Amino acid sequence: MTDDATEDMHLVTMKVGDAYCGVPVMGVRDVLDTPLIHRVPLAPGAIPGSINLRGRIVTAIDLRARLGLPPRAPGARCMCVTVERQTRVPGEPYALLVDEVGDVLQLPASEYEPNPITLAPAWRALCRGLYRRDGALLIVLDVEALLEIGAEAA
Amino acid sequence: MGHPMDDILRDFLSEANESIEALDRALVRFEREPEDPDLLSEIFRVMHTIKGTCGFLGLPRLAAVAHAGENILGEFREGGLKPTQDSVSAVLECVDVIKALLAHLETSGAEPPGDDKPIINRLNAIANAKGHTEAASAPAASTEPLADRIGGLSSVDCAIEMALSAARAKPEGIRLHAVQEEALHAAVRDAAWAAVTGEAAAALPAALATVGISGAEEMTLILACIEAALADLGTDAATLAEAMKLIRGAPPAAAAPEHASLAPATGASAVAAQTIRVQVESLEQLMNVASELVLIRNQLLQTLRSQPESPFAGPLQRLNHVTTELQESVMTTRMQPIGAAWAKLPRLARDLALELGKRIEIQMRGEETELDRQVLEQIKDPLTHMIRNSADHGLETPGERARAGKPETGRIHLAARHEGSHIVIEVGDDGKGLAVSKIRAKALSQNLISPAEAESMSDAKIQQLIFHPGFSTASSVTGVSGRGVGMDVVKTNIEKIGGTVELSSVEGKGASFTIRIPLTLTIVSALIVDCCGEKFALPQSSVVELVGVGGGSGRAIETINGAPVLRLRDRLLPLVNLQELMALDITATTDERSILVTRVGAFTFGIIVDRVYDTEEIVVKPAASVFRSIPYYSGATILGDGAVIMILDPKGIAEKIGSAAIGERDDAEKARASEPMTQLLIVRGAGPALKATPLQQVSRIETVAAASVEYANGRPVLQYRGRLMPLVALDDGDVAVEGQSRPVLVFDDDQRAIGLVVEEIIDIAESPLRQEFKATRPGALGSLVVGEHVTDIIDLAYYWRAAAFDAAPAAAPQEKRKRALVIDPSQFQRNLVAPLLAMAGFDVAMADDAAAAQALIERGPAFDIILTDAWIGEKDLLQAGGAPVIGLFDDFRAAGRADSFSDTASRFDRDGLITAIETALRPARNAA
Repeated sequence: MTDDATEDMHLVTMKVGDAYCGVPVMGVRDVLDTPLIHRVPLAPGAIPGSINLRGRIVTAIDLRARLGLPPRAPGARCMCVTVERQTRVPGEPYALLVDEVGDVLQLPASEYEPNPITLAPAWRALCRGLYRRDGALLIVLDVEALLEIGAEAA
Repeated sequence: MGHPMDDILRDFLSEANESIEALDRALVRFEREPEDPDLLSEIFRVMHTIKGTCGFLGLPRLAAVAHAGENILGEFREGGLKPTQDSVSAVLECVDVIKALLAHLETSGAEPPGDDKPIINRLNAIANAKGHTEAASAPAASTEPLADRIGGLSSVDCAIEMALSAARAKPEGIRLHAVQEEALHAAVRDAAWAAVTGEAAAALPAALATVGISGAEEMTLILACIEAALADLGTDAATLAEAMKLIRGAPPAAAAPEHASLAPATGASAVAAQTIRVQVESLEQLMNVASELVLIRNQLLQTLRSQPESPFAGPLQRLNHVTTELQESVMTTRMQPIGAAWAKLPRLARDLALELGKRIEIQMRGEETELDRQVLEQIKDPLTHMIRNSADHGLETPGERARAGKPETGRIHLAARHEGSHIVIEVGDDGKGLAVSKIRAKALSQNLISPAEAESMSDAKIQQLIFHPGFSTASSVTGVSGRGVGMDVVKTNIEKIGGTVELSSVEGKGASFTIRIPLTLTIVSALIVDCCGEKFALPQSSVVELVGVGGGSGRAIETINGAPVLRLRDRLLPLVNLQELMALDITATTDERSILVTRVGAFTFGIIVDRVYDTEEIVVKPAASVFRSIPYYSGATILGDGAVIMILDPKGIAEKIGSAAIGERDDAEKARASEPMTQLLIVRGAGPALKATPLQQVSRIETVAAASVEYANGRPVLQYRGRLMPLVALDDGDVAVEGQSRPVLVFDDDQRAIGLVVEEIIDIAESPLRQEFKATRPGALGSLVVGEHVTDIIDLAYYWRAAAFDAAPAAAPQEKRKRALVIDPSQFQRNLVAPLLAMAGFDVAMADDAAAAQALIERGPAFDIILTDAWIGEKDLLQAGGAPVIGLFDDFRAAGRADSFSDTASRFDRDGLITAIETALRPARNAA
């Protein structure tokens, strides 16, 4: 894991609703375009189902639902980046469902800012910090925190 | 290989060969760089490991050599000795001897006879560095009597102890396990002592014969072990030779070849070449790849089905076969005998025995039973834990055991066997069992249960508390166990891999756990089902039967008190609707459903699905951790068409619908095993009292709207399945109330039926059918207590009469009515059977014992059939007058007595009883 404060960060950028966010590129395994999602009954709200990624079962997590944004229009295009869990069950694959996947950006450490205290508590738990880019805020998502679903009950 | 070599030995050899090679290199480096402490530590560790393992495997010769080598390395490490060329050479020589011994071990499966005094003495001399050698003690040799020189009886006793434990550990010493340890020890010790003191020579064979060992192999083995043990105790060579000669009683024959066999091994070790040790991860990887190949194969085959003319058909079929073969081979490589998980347990038991001051013997059966490596890994810890528990909590001290009249040595037994696609492992002990009162008190003090619960819980239920997190029965925390992380972890771990643990314990006699786990976790046969457009897989191992309902099947799902049930062969099966369970939107347009009859432990229930597709070999993948909170899934899989579906966990579903019922039901059954249980349908009529009727007598339960009730001759009837069925109301209540629907119990004997209208169906309960109160009003046979309520048993005969059948039976018997005699000591039981016979067209006479029956038979006219309580028996009815005699049972338990009757039937199985009567009468009819 790179130390957020002292090293440049490479992020895969993504658009989720109005939000502009990124995850560290080293953690990303694949980028998929509108994958076929197989529904899992009773799954927690942010999990629409599972994806068959070349014989691997990847659990999809809808970032819109996870971040409390309004749902995507039915049938709208979506993309996902697959990541692997580091804690609890290391290597377990997940697909983060977003509206669009953008470029990979190298971001200088000097531009890194910790979460502002005004950030909503729900978001604060899921964000590691942010960068200011051309007037927009690029939020660095905490992948492990995003995957903490259903753990409360377990 | 000529000799059977057990797996531990094989593993040891391949490991030892590897480390010895490393040792060679390291020593050579060490000689050049004597100051490197890490290197020396490494060398010391390797030597120490070899010594330790040899000791454990009962290889005294190897252990002795390695021990001497370790000593000198220890001196190096402590700095007491400077490594010189001479001393390092001695260590290297020691390594050579070890190599030679290993080579011999590999070819013959045993250590060569003989000793390694020269090298050991040399190493010891260097280690002591004071010139203190064996020679110093040699001169005294011939003056003292042999028995004193050897160190007296205590030394002999000690040597025999060591020798026997070494011998038992060897593969050829297997038969020694059949003998009581103490008995064997005493016999061998006395024989050896007699030989050494000169009282009796060559007494050993006779002594062995007295404990039932006669093989020459065991004899040689024990002798070799005694010799090694004496040598280990420091007996000098001359004394040893003299003593062994006396004990052996014959000139030693094995002296000559011993040096030849010690020729240094040349070339690479054969074992090392034949087996390669593979990293577990590589094996897992291979398994994963094979699993994925299986998926791709499934996908291709699915495609092929739609294009049968494809030119790929041939190659695909071959791919199919090769894949299957590959999959099976990979599975085989992952299979290991369960003995691998047990290997450490005898040692564990031994250490525990020492620590706890107990005597423990461990018995194993079915070590060769194979199971998947992954499963094996998962059960190692639980097993270790259970052995610890048995040793600590289960077994008593020798003193306590003696007082309880048990052998002083406590026994822990392990047994494994295959049962279908499961492996069943039993772990038990003959200790004090679970103390129910203690558990109850402990659970109370730990607030695991309330005082009220403590009062009402059955013993079996109380025993189950040991699986409760945080529970421990040991009154003190010992180093072994008692910290309260125990059986709950065991249970969780076993359940995690789809297994179950059952406990049975008899206080004072011991406790036994039965673990049932699937052989493999990776590829299972599963039924693919569809519910509301969603597909699920259900492991076939838990599915007992498939039943179609609705549509044209003639079966329907009924509801009792809102809960769906299915009447299946006179059993009422609780059902769970997958659509409701999974909160799915109903898509089905017909009422056709399939029911998967599923069994979890002793609990059977049905899962309602829309349809069942097919069986498929599925590759089980773990469910994502975010789904762990959903109890109904055990994993996920990919189907041939690429779809990802969830695998249903029958256990989770059973817990949902049966809630606590699974454990309780078992307990209740066990607790009241002596009494036959009858399923009773509990209903309420117009009055407040609860009424019950044996469920088996009820053919169907219908709901009838008041509007469909018609009247014939002023009597209420219902058009039912093409005929008129008279209706009677329970407790003489109203048959029909305007605008209401009522449940109707249909009693049907194929010729005629009545409908008993009740107000309400309350429940189904299991209870022993025995009368507790006499009948107080018409329509009741008597009363009993079901649950906590006094419940009347419905007198069916009363209602048959009320329906006035005598007037219009559907098939009036043309012939003279047959006569039947019912003999039963219980008025209550007689009244249950009599209406059935009356319905079947018999005139019924009743008697309460054999004498009364005899009187009736003699008085005549002759009976056509006699039905008797099975416990009275035909023997007492010699004058039955030629009529067939049918034995009546409460259940199958009495089936052992079946031989004495023409036929047997259950009192409560109406159809079975009628069939038995018809069968019994048929030959008589033919003869007439």
